[in-house]
Amino acid sequence: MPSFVKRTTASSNAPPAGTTPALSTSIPPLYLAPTGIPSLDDIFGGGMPLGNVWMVLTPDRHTNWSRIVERYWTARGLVDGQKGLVVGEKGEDIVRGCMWLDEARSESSARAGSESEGEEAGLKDVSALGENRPKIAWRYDGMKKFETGIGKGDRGELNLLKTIPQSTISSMEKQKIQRYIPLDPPNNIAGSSSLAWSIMSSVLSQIQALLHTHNDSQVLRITVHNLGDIFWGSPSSAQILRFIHSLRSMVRDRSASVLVAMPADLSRSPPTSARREGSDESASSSREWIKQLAWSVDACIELKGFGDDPTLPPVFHPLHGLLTVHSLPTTHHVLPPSYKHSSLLGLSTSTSTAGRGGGAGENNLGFRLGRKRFSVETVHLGIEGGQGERRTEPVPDTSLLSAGIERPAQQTSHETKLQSGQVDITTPGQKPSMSVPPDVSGKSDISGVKKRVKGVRFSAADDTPRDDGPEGRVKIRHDQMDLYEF
Amino acid sequence: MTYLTEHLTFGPSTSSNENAGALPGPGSHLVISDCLASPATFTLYHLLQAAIGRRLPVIFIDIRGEGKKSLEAVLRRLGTAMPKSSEIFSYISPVSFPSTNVEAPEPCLFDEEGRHDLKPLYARIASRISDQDTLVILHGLSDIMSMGIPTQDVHRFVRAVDAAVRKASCILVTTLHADGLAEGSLTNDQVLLEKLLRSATAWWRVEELQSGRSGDVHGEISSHPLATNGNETSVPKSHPLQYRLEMNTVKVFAKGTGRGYL
Repeated sequence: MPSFVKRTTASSNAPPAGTTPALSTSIPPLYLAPTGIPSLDDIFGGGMPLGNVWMVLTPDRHTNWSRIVERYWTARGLVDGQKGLVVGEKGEDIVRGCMWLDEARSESSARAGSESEGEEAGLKDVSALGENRPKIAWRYDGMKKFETGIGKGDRGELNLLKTIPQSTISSMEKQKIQRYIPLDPPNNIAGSSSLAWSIMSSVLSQIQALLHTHNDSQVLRITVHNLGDIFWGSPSSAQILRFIHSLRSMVRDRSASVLVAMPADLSRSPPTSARREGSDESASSSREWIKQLAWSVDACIELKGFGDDPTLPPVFHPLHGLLTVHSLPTTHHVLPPSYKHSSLLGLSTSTSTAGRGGGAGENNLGFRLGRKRFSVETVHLGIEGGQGERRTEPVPDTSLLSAGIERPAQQTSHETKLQSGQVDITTPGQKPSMSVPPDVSGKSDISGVKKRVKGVRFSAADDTPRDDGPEGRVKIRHDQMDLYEF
Repeated sequence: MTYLTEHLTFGPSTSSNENAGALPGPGSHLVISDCLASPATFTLYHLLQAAIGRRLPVIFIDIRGEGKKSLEAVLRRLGTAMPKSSEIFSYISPVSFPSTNVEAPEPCLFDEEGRHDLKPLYARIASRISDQDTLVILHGLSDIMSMGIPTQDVHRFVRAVDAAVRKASCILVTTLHADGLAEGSLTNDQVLLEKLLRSATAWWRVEELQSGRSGDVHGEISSHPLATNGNETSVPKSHPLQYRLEMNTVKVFAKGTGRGYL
């Protein structure tokens, strides 16, 4: 008999379907359930560990970002052959609106990177050049393409353009793969229990009974929809936290994971004082409430859409909101796996990901909803410091000029030059100067100002096609920023 | 000797047992406060390692519900095997909803009518305290209060456990959250912390960095001896120790020397 005998893995230790082992070895083994959003899995260090409860806060009143996360979470489980349970009012609507697999996904679209179609088109052009692509400095030549997101993951990508077929839902409901727990108030409210806790204890009893018969070789994904809203009987903060604590102890060490989605008002502040019980809750503030929620679960993220503030979308274009990580899963680990493995968080101290942060501070994160997918990306200001479009000269105030109104005396030097119509144009051979006489009479010929000379665009309102050929390119002179080279 | 032993000691280590100074003395009460971005679980791992290394009995009351398997996995990562015997390592995970598990029922924090009741938990702890030098850890007092149990009742419960621990010359460690401590806001956690500090012998204060999450420094820890005759290491809040969690250990260092240089 040889000295070394390979130990065969018992079939009972095989990972449940649709899960992956944790990225760092763990004894006892730890398995991760993907959330359905690859970029969110990256933030959680590979996925949500089984036995964990995670929470999504969506404080934006005008949008409902938690619903799309719920659908991704549910759809991923159904695609992977796992069991699903939706707790909440109209849970069927969540499942019916789930996205589904994009079976016709082409290989080219499977390439990792940003979702922006414009960016992808540009990159295709560059890669298509092959050997003829322009030479750049050697130290930049092998540099990886700048990305704000991560790849699409190894698993089949869920496509927002696809919806789960009705026949599939019916089949899964019939086989009890997908179940629902509606929020029906019980007929007999025991003792001094309130309506809210009666509903909650009824839900907990049903989950407990389901877990009692649940086989741990298969994963159960539980989605708790809008915990604490009016359909739950408007519970107090203590009841909400007790419900989560109970749920957490039920699924701990089981092959089940729970997503808790909070409604908008409870993602901002605790339940109103009228609903509070006892004087201890009177000191609760919004910040303390969020901390309590984040402590009560294994992982907590906040998706704050820009719906409340219309000035933010243009500033953070193309993002639709900001993502805040309140807490991260640490099950079976001293260091949260996200710190080591997450590219988006940027907290890794390893040299391989030095470009992502190298142990420095945490990246700012945002999310965006594309046509096909929802993704989390790092937030970056544009090259020009957040301006999407660079304006090389101010737009002439045509209304004032045509009306004959004089400009105020206090003007910047740049504006003074423009008012005098002085534009310096430099060419390789000479430095001609074109002078437009100042408008003395107040009847300026705006069409003359708009006149296009050799690719120079004098006005943003100029709608003639721009000639950006080799001769017509404009560069900014670094010694004199208000001069342009052609 | 674990990662915190040389930085936060409770007396000199003997040549026979290097973990002797890692634990508080018999009859002492160590309070550990932490913040959301910097949980203090790593300090518990240090104390557990020290107790297991000295073959002391441990009673771990996991009110937060982080799980025994997770604790076992973390201790294994740190190079310590969790004792199999429940006589040496007793794990209690109180529940807030009556369990149907009749084989190993855990104490419930609420009775059948929904009223809070900490007596079953106290009875379970008291029944396990037998040997001298048992390490009793109450992990997650804030979680009890967040479920609606008044601060006074939680304080009364801790005082009862403390009395039982002192009577048996054991060691008590309690953890709670103190997120608003730096801001000066008066929350239930702060009220309980103030009450506990009146009877505690030492306080370890774990806080996050003001600058937010960092890959090099995961938080700060200061130590405040509260007993007059205590020989614990004092680490003032103005010059705290900083730490960095790693996959299999924790690096503790003076402020600003995370990578071995200033």
